[in-house]
Amino acid sequence: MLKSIRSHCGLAILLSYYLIFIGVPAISLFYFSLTDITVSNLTNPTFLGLTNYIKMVSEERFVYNLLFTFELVAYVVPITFLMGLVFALFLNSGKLFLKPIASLLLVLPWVTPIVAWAMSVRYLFAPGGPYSILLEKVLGFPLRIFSDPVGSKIFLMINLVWISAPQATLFTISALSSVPRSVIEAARLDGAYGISLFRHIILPLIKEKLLIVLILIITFTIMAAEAILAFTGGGPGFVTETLAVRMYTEGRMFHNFGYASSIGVFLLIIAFILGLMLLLLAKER
Amino acid sequence: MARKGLLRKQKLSRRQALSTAGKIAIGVIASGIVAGVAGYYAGGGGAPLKTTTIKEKETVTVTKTVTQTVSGPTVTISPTTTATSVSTTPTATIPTKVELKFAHFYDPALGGPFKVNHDYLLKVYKGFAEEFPNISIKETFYPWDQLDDKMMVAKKVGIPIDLCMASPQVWLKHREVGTFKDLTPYLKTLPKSLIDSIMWNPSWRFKATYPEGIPMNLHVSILVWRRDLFEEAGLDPDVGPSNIDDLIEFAKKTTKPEKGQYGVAMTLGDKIQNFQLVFVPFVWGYGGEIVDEEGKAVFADSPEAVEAVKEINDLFNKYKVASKEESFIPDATEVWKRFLEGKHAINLSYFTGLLAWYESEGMWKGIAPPTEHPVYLKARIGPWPLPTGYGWGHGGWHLCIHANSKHPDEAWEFIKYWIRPEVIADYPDMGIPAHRDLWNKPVYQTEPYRIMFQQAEKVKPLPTSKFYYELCEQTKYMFYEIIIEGKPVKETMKKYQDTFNRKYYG
Amino acid sequence: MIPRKIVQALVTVLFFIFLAFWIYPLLNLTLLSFSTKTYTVEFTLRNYISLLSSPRYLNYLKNSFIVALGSAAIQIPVCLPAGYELARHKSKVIAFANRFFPFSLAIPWTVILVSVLIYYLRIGLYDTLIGLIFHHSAFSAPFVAWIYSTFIRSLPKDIEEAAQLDGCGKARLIFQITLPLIAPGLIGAFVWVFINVWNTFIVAAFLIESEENIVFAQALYNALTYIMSGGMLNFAYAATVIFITPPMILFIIFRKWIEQILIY
Repeated sequence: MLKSIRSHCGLAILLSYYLIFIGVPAISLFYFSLTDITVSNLTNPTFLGLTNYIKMVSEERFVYNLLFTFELVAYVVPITFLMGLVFALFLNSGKLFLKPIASLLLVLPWVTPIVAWAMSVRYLFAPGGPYSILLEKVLGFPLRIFSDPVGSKIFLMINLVWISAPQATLFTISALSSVPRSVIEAARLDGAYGISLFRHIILPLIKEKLLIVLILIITFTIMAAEAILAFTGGGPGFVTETLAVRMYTEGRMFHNFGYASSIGVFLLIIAFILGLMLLLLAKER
Repeated sequence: MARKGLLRKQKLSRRQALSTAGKIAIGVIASGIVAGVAGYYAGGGGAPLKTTTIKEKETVTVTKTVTQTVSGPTVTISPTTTATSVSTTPTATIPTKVELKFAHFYDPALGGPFKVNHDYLLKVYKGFAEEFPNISIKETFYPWDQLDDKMMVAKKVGIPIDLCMASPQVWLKHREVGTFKDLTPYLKTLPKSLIDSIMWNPSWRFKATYPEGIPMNLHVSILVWRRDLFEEAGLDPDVGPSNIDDLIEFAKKTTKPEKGQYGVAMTLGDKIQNFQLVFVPFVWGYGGEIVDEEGKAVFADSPEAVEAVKEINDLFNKYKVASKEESFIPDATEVWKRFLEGKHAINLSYFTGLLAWYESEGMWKGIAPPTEHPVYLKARIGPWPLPTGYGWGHGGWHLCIHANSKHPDEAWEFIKYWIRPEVIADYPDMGIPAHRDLWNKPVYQTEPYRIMFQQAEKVKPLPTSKFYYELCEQTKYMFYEIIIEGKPVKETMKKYQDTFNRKYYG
Repeated sequence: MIPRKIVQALVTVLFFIFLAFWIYPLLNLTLLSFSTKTYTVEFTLRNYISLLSSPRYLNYLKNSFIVALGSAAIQIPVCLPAGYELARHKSKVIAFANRFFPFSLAIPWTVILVSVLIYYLRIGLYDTLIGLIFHHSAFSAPFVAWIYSTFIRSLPKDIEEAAQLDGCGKARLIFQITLPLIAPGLIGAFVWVFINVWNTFIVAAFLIESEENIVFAQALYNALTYIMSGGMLNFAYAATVIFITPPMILFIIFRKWIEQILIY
């Protein structure tokens, strides 16, 4: 008994720290979502039962926010993940003599604070800016990022990929370099090259790490209130509003803490389900 | 090996390690729990919420006999009451050093009008310090659109702030939280003429913010257009549109999409300004209603309001004199900046608070701060061209004593100093002077100010509601659906009216 | 078939062209910070001088440093013992923790910010830098502990066994023996946490109010919507460049170690 306490006290310290600052608020979130708590009744809110949830679900805009959150994840995550993979493979190929510089430059958009990035990018993509002219040539139609729902969504997605691909690349590089050199050389000796080398040898070995990368990207996209606020502010109307942005406006601007908490609970459940799905997927293989 | 030598020195026994580690763990958990519980009760068991009731108006009467001739060059005011003597509370003791914390948004680092106003504030502090050497002012900046709710949170949490600026639109929320001290006892010490002159301000006249805050200026919505773009289009640069048909005609002539130039623009993308500077001026310009006395939304039931929104929609989709991309930019300042860049000829979301900024950018000279010979350079202002002739107006930012202030008397001294006619006269953000008796100064007898006074005569303050920001949010989405998605006007307005009422009024 | 070398060269060239577009916004930012009017290119240090001589902005920088450093530093004593136990001890609890901790980052913490705000308002940690530090460090604590554990697991056990035979207590063991051996992992995690905390503004937007405590990222976000005239925009760009510098420098120096974080 003594031994087991002794061997767990470090964990206990960590867990109590986590519990106090993250665990308790997370659990309280469920409680707050059942009340009408706001600034003026912080300590004695009235219990409302499921009213917040009913209001939430019957709001047309909420349904849109939910769907858009999924839409954002569906587009941004695969592209980011693939880009990360491609960059990592490319940089890992070793023949690049400018590799250190290239990988540094590649990661810069992540190291840059989102706000700074948004400041610069908004001007570059505004009508008349260099990137918008370029995109117009590529896409065939002018990119209206402030008044066109499609335009603003594309703008948002491009930028989200831009700032999360670097971190995906970093983690994928780490994952790739965890494969022992001996294994790769043995496979090469057996005649495996390029794509088949990757698919049959490397991929199974780093599967779990790639899963972590995927989950990280998904989480970041779901909770990217910062990024969305900085780039489009929610877009024209509520076109680029996700649930996370709603939480921010309801919580910080309107001080409807109760309502914001119910959105939060919803988000938690979604994240939980997504995480669980991925874990199960990984276990199956 | 060096490491083995290191190990020899450490002779802590396992038992000692266990007890220390165990103690640390238990200590952390226990103190965490204790701190949490104690803090919970400490923070939560504070004084019960102060309910501020709107007190009856005391002996201050509204003088309605303000005669004003607007058409002529001079403005005459004939007050019916005489000034009473100023009664100051005698200070018998030697005053101790007091520092007042003043929360406002004139952050000089943001440049433009913020810096201009901040320079003025520095002069006010200096003058005040000369008269009251024991009181010093410490500034703390907040972004203007967060100032109100941060003040409310500050009140709740007990952050010590003495003076602050506040917006009249969210006054009902402020009253609920009790953010400010009641100024009635202090107001009694002011001369009657000063009270009357401030009472004229719509915020006090309509009892919107009285008596918790003092209106420091008067903002009204006005029209502004580019003289050079008018001239290029063959229009008389000094004649602005006087009705909606003129507006459409002038806009059509100055719309040149190939050059990226449009006739009109407005701030439809901004979370708050879409309501304040497009919805309200248009709806009231047509004589419509927005909210009722309780604050519930009624705009879809008001035919004039529907007509107003139809007109806005037509500007985009029928006459095509406005650029959607430009008018839906998320930040109002970007749209105002584009006027400066000549991207549109007429800006429909302008108000008197921005006069100083445009002056610093070369649009005109001598208007803000006012001089006796203003000159229009690249732009010109004019009255609101809609049927009723006015948009909105209110006593701009209000100066208040925060509920958490420990030095309300000293704070009041500062307020009293600032609202002296000779001090407040130079306030750049003033737009139109807050106090009626300042209007007969010679510098205000010029044409631009005549136009602004004319508007100020008729205005109503912005609609107040306990859910003001939420209402602004709803109209933002409403505009998006109508103008960009092309949904029918009346049905969409009804939908958003019902959504708002259902969500906030049950 | 095109010779492989030429294909490789072509791909490399394409890649660098792509990189140019990839980081152009940053270049744009830096270029404009040296000029005084929005769309002209000149060279003046005026923006930087006025920025660095402004006590308010230096205060924001200082706050950002305190919060980022504090969050990353506090994780060492809090997470290292747990990391050691995750690596060396065995039990049902530890096995479960090993499965769960790497995924702890998957909890979207923006979600609980409202609740943290209410919590802090009641406790009195609202508007304090230390409150911010607690939140940031607590959030990634399990993940960091897991990182430490993966590094510790790769250490040979004989050193520790020798130390224990000599009577070394557990605390000493962890901090004086294991810590130096996993320094790369520590530093990698430290820098990673530092950069993430330095860059984020949303937590501060929720939990910080008064002027003295604003962090730089938050100030930039507030200024984002109020940049009025051309001169101030360039000032904001200069502020941004200064803001980007610490994480960049840290990243350049410690890149290898950050990349190694997930290696095991």
